[in-house]
Amino acid sequence: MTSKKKAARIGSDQLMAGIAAASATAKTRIQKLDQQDIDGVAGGIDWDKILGTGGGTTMGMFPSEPIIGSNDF
Amino acid sequence: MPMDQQLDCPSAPHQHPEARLLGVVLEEEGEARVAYLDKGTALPDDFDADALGIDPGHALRFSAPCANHGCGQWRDGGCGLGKAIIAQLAPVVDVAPSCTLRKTCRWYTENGTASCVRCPQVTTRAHPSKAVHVPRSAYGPHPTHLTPSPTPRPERGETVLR
Repeated sequence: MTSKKKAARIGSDQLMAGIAAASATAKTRIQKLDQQDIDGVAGGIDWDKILGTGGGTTMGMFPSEPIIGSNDF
Repeated sequence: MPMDQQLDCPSAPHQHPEARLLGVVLEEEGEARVAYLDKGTALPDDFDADALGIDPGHALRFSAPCANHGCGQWRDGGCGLGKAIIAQLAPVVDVAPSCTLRKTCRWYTENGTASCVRCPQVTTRAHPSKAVHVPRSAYGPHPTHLTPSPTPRPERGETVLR
């Protein structure tokens, strides 16, 4: 019998440890992806750094008229 | 569901005044995967997301009331991001996560569990190489200071300033 793949859950007893782990692994993950990007598009322009949008694009809510250079909602 | 029910965005910025933690982005085989909060789990009042040392959007998922047409992801009367995720990402779980947002989730309300089985891989801030592209549409998003011309036969689809 094959078991179904499920999303993980996190409770209050693990929350702060989970957040610490999440921020650490996110840093590593982004550094790795940045390195792959540099390998793939050497000479490309890093618009995030120029616009100051803070490393990445959004996959979430943002104002329909964003203020360039600001992450303020 | 009543048409005027306030829905929630499952991927909101942590700076939103009504943001609530939905999940924590852990990793599985090197890929980002959200672990969803159990019911009743919440951040301590003194938690400072800005002290994480990284943009919180990479590590945490927040929900907040959907801004509807005030959001840059709004397309054709719904969430363009929710639809783009279904079109561009593969499912990563077999069953919908039992998250705390389901009843009011914008993505679930519009797309059902097709959104839920893809949701765990979504990080609010995404590395450019992992980002989902939300296509433009003929309609939205609408800048609030512009509105389509009310004249019955506008020339070349002109817009007018309010």
